[in-house]
Amino acid sequence: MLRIIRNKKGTAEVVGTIMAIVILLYFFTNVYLWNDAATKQMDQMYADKMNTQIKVTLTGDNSNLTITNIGGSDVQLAMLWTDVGSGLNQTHYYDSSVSTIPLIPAGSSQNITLPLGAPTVETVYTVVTTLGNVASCSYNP
Amino acid sequence: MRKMYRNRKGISPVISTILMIMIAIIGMSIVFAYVSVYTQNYQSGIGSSVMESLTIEDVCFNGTNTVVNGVSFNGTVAVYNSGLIAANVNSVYIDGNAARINATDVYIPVGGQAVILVQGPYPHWNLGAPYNIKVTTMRGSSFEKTFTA
Repeated sequence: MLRIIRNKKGTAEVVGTIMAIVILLYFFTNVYLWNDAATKQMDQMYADKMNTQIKVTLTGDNSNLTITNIGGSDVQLAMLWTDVGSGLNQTHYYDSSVSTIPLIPAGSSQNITLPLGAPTVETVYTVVTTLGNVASCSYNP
Repeated sequence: MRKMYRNRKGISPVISTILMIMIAIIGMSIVFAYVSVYTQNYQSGIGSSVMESLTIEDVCFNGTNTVVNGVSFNGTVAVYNSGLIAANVNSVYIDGNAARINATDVYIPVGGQAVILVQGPYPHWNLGAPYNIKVTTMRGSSFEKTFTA
C-alpha cells in the first residue's frame, strides 16, 4: 500500500484527466441547466398562451370592436388588423396602438373604437395578443 | 550554498516537470476556450430556437404585383414575434415551395412585427383557395398557418 502511494508515476495523467473531466462536466452541466431553464420558460409561455384566448365581435352599430378575454389570465393586445374589401383587392391596415390598452382581466371585455370607423364593405378584423393568440370577426354587408 | 548552485544533478527532472505543467495548462486553456466558445455559440444560436415563437398574423394576396427595386412581389406576410428572443426570418414557404422575399433575413425584435413582401411560386393566386404559409428562422424554427386568398 505504501509502495503504491509513494509511486509518483502516472500522477500527471490522473490529474490531467480529472481536470479535463471537471471542465467538460462544468460545461455540459451549464448547457443542460440553461436548456432546462429555457424550455421551462417556453412551457410557461405556451401555458399562458393557452390560458389567454380571446373572442372578437363587432358591437355598437359596428363602430366598436369588443374583445372578450375567455381565458383565465390577463390579456395584453398587440395588433389590430383591418382587411377591407374582398378577394384579391383587399387593403390591409394594421394598428399597433392597441398595445397601449391596459391588460384585459380574465372574463372581462374591452371595447375599442374602430380606427377606420364603421365598415361599409366586406371587412375582416383580426386581433393579435402579445402571446400570439389570434381572433377574427368579419363584417358582411 | 555554492555547492547547491553548482550541483547539476536533478535539473533535467525539474525542467521536464515545469514543461509538463506548462503544456498541461496550455492544453487545458485551449480545451476551456474551445468548449466555452462552443457553449456560447450554442446558447445564442440553435440552442435558443426553443425560445422562438412567431405568429403569422396576416397575409395579403395581391391581384397586382408590387415592384420594389425592380423585383415584383404579389403578396405580403405579416409576422409578429411572440417569443422570448429576437428572431431572424430567412425563408417563407407557400404550399411547401420557397417564396422570394424582399430581404435575405428579416430581423424581428421581441414584441415586434415585420411585414415581408413575398413572390409566391404561382403566377397568380386562386380566389378562395387555401394556401399554407410557413415561415422559418435562421435558428431553424418554423411556424405555419393556412390562409385563404
